[in-house]
Amino acid sequence: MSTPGRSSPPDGDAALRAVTGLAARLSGTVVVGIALFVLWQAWPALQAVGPLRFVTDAGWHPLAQPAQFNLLPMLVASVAVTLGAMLLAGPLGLFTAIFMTDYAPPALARLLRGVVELLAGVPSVVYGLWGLVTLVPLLAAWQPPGASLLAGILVLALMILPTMVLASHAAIAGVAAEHRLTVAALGFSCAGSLWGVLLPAARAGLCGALLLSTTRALGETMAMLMVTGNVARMPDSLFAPARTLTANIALELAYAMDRHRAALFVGGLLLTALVLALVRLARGLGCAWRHA
Amino acid sequence: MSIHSLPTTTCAEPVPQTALQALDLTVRYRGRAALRGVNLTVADGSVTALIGPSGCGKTSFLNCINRMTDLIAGCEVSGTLSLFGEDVLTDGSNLLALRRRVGMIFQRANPFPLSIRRNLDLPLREYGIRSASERAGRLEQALRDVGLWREVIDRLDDPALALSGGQRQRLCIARAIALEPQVLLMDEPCSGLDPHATAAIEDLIHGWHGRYTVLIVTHNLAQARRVSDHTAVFWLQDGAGTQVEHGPTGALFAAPRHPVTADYVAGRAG
Amino acid sequence: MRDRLSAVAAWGAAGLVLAAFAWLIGDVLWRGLPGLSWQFLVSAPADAGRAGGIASILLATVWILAIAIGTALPLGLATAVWLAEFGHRQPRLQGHVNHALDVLAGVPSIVFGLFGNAFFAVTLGLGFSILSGGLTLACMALPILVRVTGAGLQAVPAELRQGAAACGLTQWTTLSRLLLPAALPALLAGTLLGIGRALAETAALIFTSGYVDRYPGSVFDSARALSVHIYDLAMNVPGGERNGYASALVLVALILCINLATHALARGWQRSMS
Repeated sequence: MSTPGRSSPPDGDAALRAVTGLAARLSGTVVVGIALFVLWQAWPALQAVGPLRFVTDAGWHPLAQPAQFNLLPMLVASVAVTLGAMLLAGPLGLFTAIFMTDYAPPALARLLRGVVELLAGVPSVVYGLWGLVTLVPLLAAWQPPGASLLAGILVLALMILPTMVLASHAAIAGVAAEHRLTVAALGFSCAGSLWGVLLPAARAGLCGALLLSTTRALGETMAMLMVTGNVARMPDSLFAPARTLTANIALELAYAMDRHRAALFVGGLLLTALVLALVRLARGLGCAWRHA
Repeated sequence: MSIHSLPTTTCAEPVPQTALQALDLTVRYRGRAALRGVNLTVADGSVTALIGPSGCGKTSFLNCINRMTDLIAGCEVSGTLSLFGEDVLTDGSNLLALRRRVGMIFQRANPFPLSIRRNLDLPLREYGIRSASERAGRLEQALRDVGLWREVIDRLDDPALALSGGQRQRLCIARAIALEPQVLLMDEPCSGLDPHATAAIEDLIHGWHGRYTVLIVTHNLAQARRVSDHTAVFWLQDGAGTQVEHGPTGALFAAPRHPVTADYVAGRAG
Repeated sequence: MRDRLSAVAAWGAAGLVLAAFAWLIGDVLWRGLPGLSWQFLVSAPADAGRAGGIASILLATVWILAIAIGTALPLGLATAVWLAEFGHRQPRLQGHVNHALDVLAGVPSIVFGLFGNAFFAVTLGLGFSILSGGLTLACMALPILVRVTGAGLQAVPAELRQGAAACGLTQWTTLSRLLLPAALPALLAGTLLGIGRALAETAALIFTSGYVDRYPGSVFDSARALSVHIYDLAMNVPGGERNGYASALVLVALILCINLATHALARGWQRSMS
């Protein structure tokens, strides 16, 4: 009876399998290690303060006596900038991708693709720098203080546009060539074939693109740190300064001690939980997701 | 290596050794049988053609002999298969040694993306031949045996992928015979080659009678008649492939015993 | 009618997006070019970075990248090899590893900062150092390396593997002499992509390699990467915008080079596969 793999491999191959197997196991453990470690660091706060207080305390005043650890204002700010950015970048990114696949002359499409790919790699600090030096003063002239939720939304939208465009483009371009031939043969108009056949066929990939962009937006730290004003209060309007969960951690980690520090780790846990929940949701909805 | 030899009779004609014997060989892919209950004996030094329509398990049969089935996920082989008396299917058998004794030529020529020289040098070195001069000698002999030597002598270091289709296939054959195998498995080696290249390979096979044991899968019935001295017919039975008839080529084509064979060789079925 | 709307929307969107990017890039060029010069690249920062250049920063960045890629590449390559060559024999473990890497790729960078700070800097006692920063970045670059290298290995045609197996070549020989050379462009592309990711990273580095802008003496020294320098000049140094923009320009230029190199590799690879 011959079953795959049940013969004695030469020593070199056995060693190869052992070494690479060890590497694979190590790689698989990294994320688990990170999760456990963050949990361990957050534990003192979860125990001493209790999960409920992280949404019911009077506000975020970790250095006050007694300390207050309400993360809700930051959570709301994070969700608000993400939502706002996605409302802008989602449609814009989709239509730009459609432009690249179906409307642009090939040279222009290639140029646009190159520009978008470059911008996809530009670090968030550069977006933040531009936002801080150029955008925020403009907004301040319109409606002070300038550094606000709106600034965050605009900068974030610009930041995730490249991801949205590239992922959508991949999804649409990946639609089987047969579909395109079919609609051409049936005499569909450009818009008809797009909206009737091609985009629905690319549904899974487009959903994945939306999702990938949303998780990136949620996890953005530096640009938000630089343009949203960093006030740890519940924002009451688009023009109010706010502080995202990510910026909260970045601002205070340097000097936080003991319970304060552990509370920041709780923030990190919350963030990771949000991202994982989004990914789970996406899988459930049948999104096709490829990490580039 | 134990020699499984039949007792000699008082007749002047020596009875040939059995190179390969399959008993009730069955191949399953994820539980579904693709080949079932194959019984076949192949004599040493003979050229046996395996004919029959697509999907009847001929390639699966070949894959069992050099345990290439091990590389296919979910594939299970049962029954007995022995090579010169040794069981091929047992656990613990030395697969690398087996695959050097049993060479395989694929339907599409697959030379390594290396130079012509390295295509042969690499397996020879793997085989344990440390002396560079001995490797060079075997390399030249193998290339001469397939008739490629004169064609490539001045470009041994050029990429093998630059060769024509027929040359590539002959290079693959040279790669296999450089290891001095006992058995050669050929899976439709001439499909996709022009008549000239096909004739060249068929000439090679003619020269191998008595030297190697050859099993060749072919869809070209004329080719089967030309090159083989024995033929085995594969057909679908109960949803799985099996061998329905085998015998000397001339007799099988002239007077087939099984109705399916008769239909197939007459072109009425398959 | 729908056609007209659709076309307007597409052209409009593309135009808007291009305009926004042009504004951004134009701004970076306009504000950054004046500060950029050979002197800028080879002299150390002075006056908290308002004056001088980024030489020590560039050196620190190179060291951090070296540690990051030097750690992640062997680990990632070995993992990719296992997944491609042996993983199918242990499908459950293969699934776990793939899933774990997918999740790792989605973890926000600030969480890496938290982890790196608590684990490498504090628990392992490495403190704020190039080593802490590099190792943290290695964790971040790992998924990309495994993904791209693995894709390269799996793209090697099955016929090559079959031919090698039929010749009785060991898996090690097949891998080292045939598969890895064939997948080399993918390996290089993966490395470049990993470098790009690491270059762009700021949040994780602030809390692991730190802020010191002097020339680093060893990997245990704290040092400042280029992205961190830009952040510092923008937020903490009044009047630092000029050099901040110049630094940003250097960073963007580096990313551009990486992009172009990756493209060239991809083209060359596709040509060799056909």
